[in-house]
Amino acid sequence: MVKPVPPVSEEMRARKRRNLWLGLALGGFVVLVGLTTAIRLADANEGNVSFYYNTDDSRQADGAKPELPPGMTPDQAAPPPNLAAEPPASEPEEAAPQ
Amino acid sequence: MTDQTAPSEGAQKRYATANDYVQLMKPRIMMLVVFTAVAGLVAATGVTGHAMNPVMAAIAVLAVALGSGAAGAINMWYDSDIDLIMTRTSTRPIPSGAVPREEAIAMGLIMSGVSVMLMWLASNWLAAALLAFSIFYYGVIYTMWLKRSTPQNIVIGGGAGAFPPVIGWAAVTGNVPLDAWILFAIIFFWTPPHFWALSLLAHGEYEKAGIPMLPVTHGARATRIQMLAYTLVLVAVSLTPVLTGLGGWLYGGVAILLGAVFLWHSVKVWQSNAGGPDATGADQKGARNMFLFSILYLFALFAALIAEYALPLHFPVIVS
Repeated sequence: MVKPVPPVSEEMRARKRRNLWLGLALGGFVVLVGLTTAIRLADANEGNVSFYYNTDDSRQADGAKPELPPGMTPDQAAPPPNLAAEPPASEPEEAAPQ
Repeated sequence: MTDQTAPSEGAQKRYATANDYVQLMKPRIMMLVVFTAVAGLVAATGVTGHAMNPVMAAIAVLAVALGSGAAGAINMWYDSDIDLIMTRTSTRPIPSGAVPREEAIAMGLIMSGVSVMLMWLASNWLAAALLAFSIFYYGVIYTMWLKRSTPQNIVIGGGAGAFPPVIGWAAVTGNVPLDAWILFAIIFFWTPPHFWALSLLAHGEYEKAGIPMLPVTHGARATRIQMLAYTLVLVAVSLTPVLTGLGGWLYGGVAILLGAVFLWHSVKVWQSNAGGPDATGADQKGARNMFLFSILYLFALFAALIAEYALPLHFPVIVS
């Protein structure tokens, strides 16, 4: 059986230095990916980006509605009732027990 | 290519330091690449009014730097055989025995992927695609194909180094209009007189390594004529941003003043025997001065553009 040759101290030091730099580079990469993801998500929230068209956006100063693709009706563009920003007010609340 | 890359047997074995890996990325070229990319980014912001998130802009610039480093590592991996032959390059990390070739190519490929991915995340697919293509241009088209096959190697290959301002522009706006390509053209036409000035000084080394640089294949006189021709084109191209409105009074003034000095250097070298068998010390010094001035010229030109939009000092020469 061949015995492994122990690395000399200079080689060990060089290996350790290199491993440290590799670790730092990997950590930096993870931080950068996380940072870009966080900024993109924050920008998406600020822009109110979603799958559905918001046809009743009260933040529009001039009250203008967004332009829909040709052939799409406002009903088709609007989010389903369960995803709407405010639940319909028609449901009467249950009376609290006396 | 493999046998010649091993360090000489008598040489003392040394282990790679962090500096060796930095040198593998050609840091001086990286500085110029980053600077011109920032110029493209700042100019695009000023011209179009598109604002990029500052953190995303910093990450995009970092991606350009990593891409440049990746291309440099791929170049050093492929050229390690000729680097060993030439005195100027024999101390580089691979020929000196500090970094194994396999590590250099692995580093180049991994950094290429990381840089393109980071660019995509920080900006858009167009900037990422342009960055990927520029790495391919330098690492494959220039290094593996043009450099050893044609005396026009650095003319066509100069395109690789001209991409950074276009990438910077695309990162901000998601498109590349004429102004971005004008910045590309400035670096493209700057490369031949810049690089041939160095080649006139080191043509013996290139000949020894079998690289068909223009002074080796066509002689020093033909090279000096072409340097003058490209300098004339460069000075003309450097003034076009003033016509399109990209550059204002400050940029125009710097372009005229430094263009005149560059032209003066070029005429001096053209009249001299630099690179030839009868070259005197003064002739060679003239070529060296032109090489050094060309670096200052490009830095100053793009610095003027950055100053115009960042300070802001942009006052258009032609008001429409």
